[in-house]
Amino acid sequence: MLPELGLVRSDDLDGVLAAVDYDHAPYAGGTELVPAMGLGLRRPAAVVDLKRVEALRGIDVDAGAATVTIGAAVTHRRLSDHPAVREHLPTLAAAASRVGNARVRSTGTVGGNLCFAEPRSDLGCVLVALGATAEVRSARVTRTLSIDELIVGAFETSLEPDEILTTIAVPFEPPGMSYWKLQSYERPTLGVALVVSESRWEVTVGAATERPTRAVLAAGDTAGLAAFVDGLELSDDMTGPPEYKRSVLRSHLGRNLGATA
Amino acid sequence: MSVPTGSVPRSDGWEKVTGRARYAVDMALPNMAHAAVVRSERAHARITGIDRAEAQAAPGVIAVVTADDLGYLGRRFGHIVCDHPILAVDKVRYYGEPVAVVVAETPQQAADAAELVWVDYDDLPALTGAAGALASDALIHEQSYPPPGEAFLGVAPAASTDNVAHHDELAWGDAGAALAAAATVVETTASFPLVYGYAMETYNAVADWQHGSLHVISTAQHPLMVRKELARIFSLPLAAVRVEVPYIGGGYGSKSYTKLEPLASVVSWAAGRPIKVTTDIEGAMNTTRADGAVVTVRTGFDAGARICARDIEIRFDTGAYADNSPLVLTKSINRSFGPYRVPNLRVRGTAVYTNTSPASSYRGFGAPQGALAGELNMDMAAERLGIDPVELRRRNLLAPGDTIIDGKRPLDADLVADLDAIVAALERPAPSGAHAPADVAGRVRAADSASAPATDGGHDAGSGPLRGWGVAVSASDAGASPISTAQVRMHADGSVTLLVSSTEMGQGSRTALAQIAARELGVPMEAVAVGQSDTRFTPFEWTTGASRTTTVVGLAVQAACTDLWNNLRAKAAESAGVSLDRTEVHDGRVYVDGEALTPAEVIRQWFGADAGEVVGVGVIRRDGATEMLPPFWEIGAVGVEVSVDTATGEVTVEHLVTVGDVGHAVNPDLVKGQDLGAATQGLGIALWEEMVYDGEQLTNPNLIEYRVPRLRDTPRRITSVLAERGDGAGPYGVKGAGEGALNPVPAAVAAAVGRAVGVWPTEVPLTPPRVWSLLQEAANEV
Ligand SMILES: Cc1cc2nc3c(=O)[nH]c(=O)nc-3n(C[C@H](O)[C@H](O)[C@H](O)COP(=O)(O)OP(=O)(O)OC[C@H]3O[C@@H](n4cnc5c(N)ncnc54)[C@H](O)[C@@H]3O)c2cc1C
Repeated sequence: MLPELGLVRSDDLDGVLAAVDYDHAPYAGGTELVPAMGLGLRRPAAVVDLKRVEALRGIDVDAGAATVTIGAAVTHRRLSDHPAVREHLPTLAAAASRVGNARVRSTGTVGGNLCFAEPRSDLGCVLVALGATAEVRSARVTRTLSIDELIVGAFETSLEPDEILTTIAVPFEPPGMSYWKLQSYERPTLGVALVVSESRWEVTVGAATERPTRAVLAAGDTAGLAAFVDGLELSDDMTGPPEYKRSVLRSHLGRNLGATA
Repeated sequence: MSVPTGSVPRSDGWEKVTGRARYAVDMALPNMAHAAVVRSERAHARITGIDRAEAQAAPGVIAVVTADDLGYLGRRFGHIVCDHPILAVDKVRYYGEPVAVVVAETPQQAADAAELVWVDYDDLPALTGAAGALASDALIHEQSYPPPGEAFLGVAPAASTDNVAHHDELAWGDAGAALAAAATVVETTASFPLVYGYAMETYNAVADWQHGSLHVISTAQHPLMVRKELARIFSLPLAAVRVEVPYIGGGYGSKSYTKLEPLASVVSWAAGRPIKVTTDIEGAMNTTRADGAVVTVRTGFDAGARICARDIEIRFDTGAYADNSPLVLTKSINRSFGPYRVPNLRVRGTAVYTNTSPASSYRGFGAPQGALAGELNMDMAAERLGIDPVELRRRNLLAPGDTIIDGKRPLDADLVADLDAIVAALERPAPSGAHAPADVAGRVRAADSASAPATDGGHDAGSGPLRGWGVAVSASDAGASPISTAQVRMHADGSVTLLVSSTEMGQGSRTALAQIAARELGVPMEAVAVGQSDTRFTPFEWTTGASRTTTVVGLAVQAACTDLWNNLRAKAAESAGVSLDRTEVHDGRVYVDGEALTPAEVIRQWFGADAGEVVGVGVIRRDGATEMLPPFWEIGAVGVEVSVDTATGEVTVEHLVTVGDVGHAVNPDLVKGQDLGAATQGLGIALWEEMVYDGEQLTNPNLIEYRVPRLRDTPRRITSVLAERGDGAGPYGVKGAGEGALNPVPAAVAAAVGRAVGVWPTEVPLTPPRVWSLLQEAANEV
């Protein structure tokens, strides 16, 4: 059962930034925060609603820079339905359309997904593969980080307690990109993002790893690919032992890179 | 007058779809306080102290209640073995067991204060597996319990001196000798998981003790059974205990017998306030689950592939308290050998206490546990004997009227016809007589290997999914004790109120019973109101379980309607001043000397006003059509076709076929809904559902990690067949439905996956990693 707790609401970013600290947790959809509070894993005195802040809800295309900038409070549903995202980031749109279940997609947000840093995530993997960057702000400073610098471990980000993620800037999707996931349970078991060109294989593995893990290889470097796959530390949980996940990963890479990893 | 037969819409549909139906969780009484349960954080430990001072001082707290505070009240419940403390006494026997209850003005205050109750424990060995518990010297129950009275349905309470909650056997002939003489013996061992009977509504109760009376509103499937236990705990006469059950948000057996009601009631007594107790999913999983099982089946066949003997050993993981598991075990024994001609039989069953959540009734009631090993064994045998598995079953199935168990009702179903219906729906070629060619079952890889099923599809790595199919049948001696009472009250306008204590938990019984009443009385559905069960007002009902309602309660309703007609006739004769033989009843009218009167006219005439009512009562007991037990055999007959992804081990159910052998479907849509629901629950067990204990604790006490079937998991194609042969003892030839379609599903899926992969599974659920392991095994065998 949820404890009684305070709610801070503000329409502007400064109001939100003034409120957020260790005891005042930002929240958007609450799909992770509310269960975590129910289990007593998080005990903020109050939650700070990000949903009303316009600056966190935009989806903006910069054709010149070839990027789409996504507000942290954009829901999976909006992301997957947005024409510009579907046009320039079709793999991300498709991944968002297949997150969890309908309830999670219509309330859960991109920012909440990244900031909770649950390893069993699709978006982190796809965004790492796309080379996205995150803008992070507090009342004091504004920083720009790669997703890799933002998500530093399982359920661990580099955010300070008074910082929030505001936007994610995502370069247009390169040709040869794909994302595949094994999702036998409610959350993904294994996610694999590939960017394949004549010269390069970029492989990002998520969900079964503590955080998305990326390798950039010369096309055809099957030995390098095998070493990468063998070296991955894969989770051991109800969705299967590491050998299983490695085998599934190998066969996916085998099918898609025409190589036996 | 349109007689409401067939698939009329559910009478509770509007309320439920609009969210206005009321459940126990919605109930409130004036001045009600809220309880939060403090649960054990040890699997097995002695309680050395409970410090409640801090909780007692917390805001809003009214009382902190432990077993020490219960005065003259009974400390334990359990309708077979009275072993279950309402609140832990001296020791805890599973992680999550209720130890104390905090009562406060609001649910939040109670929950917050519950975290301030400090319990000190002295650890004992945690026996979370049945094999370990049997081998251990440590006892989960060090004492035996005074029997609650006479044996319950022939199951006598036993003292536990060896972590055994119950032991039972069934035997005839000489199975040992027959197996020794058999031409072929096939052995199968299969494990059935610990399953949670997930229902949308968890366990909830409101209780109000007042001097000399107790009022409980709860999610009980069997209000009269709960009343009996509460009366004993409180030393009250039955009449002083009122148990009300509004709609229940799903039961599946998990809400049978007594669950949360004693806890809510004793806390109301101790706190002097009406109390509401609710549970979340974790609390529900820590209230009841189904018995896990390891079952070994050895079947001997003669040269003609006829069964000469079956020897079966069943071991249940029953958890910390016996609850209904002794009876489930006994039924599992009766159901484990299948509806086959078995001239020599020995079945031995043991229910083992473990330090896990207590097990009890669950849809299928021991049948799925036994059928998994028993039916898989038939598939392995077919492969060994080189016979199509359908043909092997057909050759051994009992015929209508045959005896399954001596002294019980003969088989009231045509199983060969059911099997043929499955095969036809699966669009498989029918096997042609004896020794069907092996390619009917798929290519035989190793003709003499009993452990490697013939694969149905090719098994070249990476060449797309493998396919396999399976069929399975089961027959359950429905534990539907024929004790039921129904009352129909016809009002002055001819409409009727039907009173039964049968509970509506989504199965549609209020609709089906109203249909029977409407049909018997010749009134439209809208003219029949069915009340909720309330032991103060509705008449006696044994239980709502064992798929009994349409059959047994249906008979009571039918009898009540007959009684009502008789009363109307008598009143019409009296009003007209004629003798009874000058009246008759047909087509919904009472005729007096050939002149037709509506029932409403009869009532108004007799009372001399536009007022009054006439009542009919129907009583069913072990007599007449229901003298022989069981009242019916509940049949399960299913077929599945699956595909298996060779890379991920994911299983897709391509086609599910259910045959509802129900005698007569009062409401075909409701029967199909039951069949599909039951089969889907079976698919959950076959593919996903399992409570996993890692050390002392359940690792997946939530619906994200305890995975129940989702919409996307429903089979790609579903064929639901109804077999209506009018061969049941219920009204119009009805037999029970509701559990049957679950029972054979795990077995059919296991056989189908085994056939697809090339290795017979030994456990369910067949999760992707497990199927992947089978694929590795198959690859290594080639
Ligand atoms: C049943 C289920 C299935 C799921 N399946 C998938 C799946 O298949 N694939 C997948 O990728 N994900 C999946 N998820 C995760 C899902 O994507 C996240 O739950 C969701 O996106 C979180 O967003 P939210 O707005 O609800 O976060 P909240 O619960 O509101 O917040 C989560 C955490 O992030 C913090 N936070 C939120 N926004 C910010 C911000 N802007 N700056 C700083 N901190 C912030 C909060 O303080 C909190 O700690 C699943 C989740 C559930 C519950």
